[in-house]
Amino acid sequence: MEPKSSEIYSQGYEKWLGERNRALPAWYLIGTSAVRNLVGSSGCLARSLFIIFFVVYYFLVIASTVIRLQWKTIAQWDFLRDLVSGLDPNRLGLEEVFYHKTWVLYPSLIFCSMVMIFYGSQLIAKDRSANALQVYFSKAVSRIDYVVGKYLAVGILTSLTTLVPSAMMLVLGLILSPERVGFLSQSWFIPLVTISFWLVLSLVLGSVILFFSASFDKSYLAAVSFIGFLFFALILTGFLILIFGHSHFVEGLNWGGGLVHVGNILFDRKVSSWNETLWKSFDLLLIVLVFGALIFKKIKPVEVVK
Amino acid sequence: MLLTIRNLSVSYGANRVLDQINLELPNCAVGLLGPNGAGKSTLIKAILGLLRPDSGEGRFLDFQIGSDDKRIRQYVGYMPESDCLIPGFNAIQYVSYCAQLNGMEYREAFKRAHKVLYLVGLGEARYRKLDTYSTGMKQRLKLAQAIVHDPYLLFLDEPTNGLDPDGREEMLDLIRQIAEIEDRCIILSSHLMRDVERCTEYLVIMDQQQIKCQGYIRELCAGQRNRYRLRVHQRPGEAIEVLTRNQFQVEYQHPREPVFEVLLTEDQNPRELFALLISVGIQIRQLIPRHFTVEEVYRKHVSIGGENGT
Repeated sequence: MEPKSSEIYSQGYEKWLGERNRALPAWYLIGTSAVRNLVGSSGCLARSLFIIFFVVYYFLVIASTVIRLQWKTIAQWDFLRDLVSGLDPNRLGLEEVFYHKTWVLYPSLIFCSMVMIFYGSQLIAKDRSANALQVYFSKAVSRIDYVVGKYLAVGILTSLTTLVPSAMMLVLGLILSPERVGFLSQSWFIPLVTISFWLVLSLVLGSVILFFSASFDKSYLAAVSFIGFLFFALILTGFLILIFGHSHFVEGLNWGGGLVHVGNILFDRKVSSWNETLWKSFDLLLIVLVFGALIFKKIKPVEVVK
Repeated sequence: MLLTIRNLSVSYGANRVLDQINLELPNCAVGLLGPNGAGKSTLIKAILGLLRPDSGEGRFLDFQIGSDDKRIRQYVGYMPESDCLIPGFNAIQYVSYCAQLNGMEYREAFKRAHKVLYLVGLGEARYRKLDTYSTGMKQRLKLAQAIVHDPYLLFLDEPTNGLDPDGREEMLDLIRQIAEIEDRCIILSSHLMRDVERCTEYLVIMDQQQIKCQGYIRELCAGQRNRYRLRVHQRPGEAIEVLTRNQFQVEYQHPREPVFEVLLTEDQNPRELFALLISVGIQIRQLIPRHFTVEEVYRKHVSIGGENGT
């Protein structure tokens, strides 16, 4: 028993002599708490709108999957016959990946851009304005932990319209498909495709929005800059095409279009032009690397003590 | 020694901001004083591992300063001067989150967060959103996040800022109690000398990128054995005249109060002062050996408006 000399012990203070090797890595803690904070600190109206959007979106995903997999059974029930009578059987028998592309690729591009504008812009800007970087970097957190944590937060947000609906469709397919072996044979690669697309989407959108978020103390400025950069890239591409003519590298500078191109290739598993794909992928990689480096430059742990 | 630094130099580009620092901190409460730009913040940054030293070396516990940065920060607590709350959290989430970032396991972090919040007087408000906290509550919360993981070394930067008189007393009491924990050290950086004098035992004074003075306050403030401060009831001028006439050396007279200092020689005795002054009808109200205050020690070592304009 060690001698207790300070009065502080009588007030409930205890020394901590245990291990300080956390079970969870710092980047994981930072990423998950960032998402929790965004949800917790958003207004009632914004939260309600997002919840309604997701309820409707997931309901449509589930309903369409159930109908297309069980339409023959549904057609036998009188009260639901009208629901499926107008459906084209040829459209219901397409490859599984087609439905994933329809429900994941296009909605996620629109939804994720919106989420980045409303929520992603707050990820670092809020920490900056609240001086929270001081808290992080006076703890056992490195700059890499912090930035990776913020990318994880972006990844969690983008997964809501990529990984989650895709997983829903796969699980429902396994349960409801009349031919499970056939279903498995045409969908085994879909998790890989969806995860690849999720990674590309999170890295590109994350790099751009986190850079702007790290550049401003006010999140609305980050959001406006993100939208501005999107349009700037579009206009710049058009301008360069006017001057230099069409080139895949210049077209790839329109990074929104580049994302659609890479997404289409991943879900189609077919490359129409290797040259175009390489240049557009290179442009996306360039954006990730440049903005990633700029994020690291913007976040200075040394400012922890002012 | 908890922390040992030898010949540590740090530069920002071409500017040297710490110059050949040598420091040995005992396990006690340390006051860190110095004017703006003296290098206090840079020293803290270097200890936290946020700056790479140009030369020199240092050890904190078993860790090498400049290489085991994250591990060092697990054993260090830092209470910044400015507000630094993470928006969206309540107090219990915030403090337990800080504990987890410092390597504590989830359940243990929550348990300790509850205890520490009660300790700093925020027990009843621990489920309230941080945005609704007053300045005083935020100050207490900053202390809670700094001590939740039981740091071996605790940096406190202006801990009484924004506190009302009662809150300030409570905060200083708490700091003193934390300083009394065995094998733990606090470093208190404050412009309020009274706070430093009250809470700390050891003093480090920095100026112009160097440590000008360090040592135990009782030793630094100990005055000369033969110097006394005298307070008389009335007629201080006459008292000084009488003493000077009798070969006593009077060194300092207070401009407004009947107070002055007397320097005794080897063969003079303080009792003689009583005898002399009573003989001329002057009553001595106070005769105390002259000790320096922390402020005087500080002023002795720091050049106000010195070479670099500090």
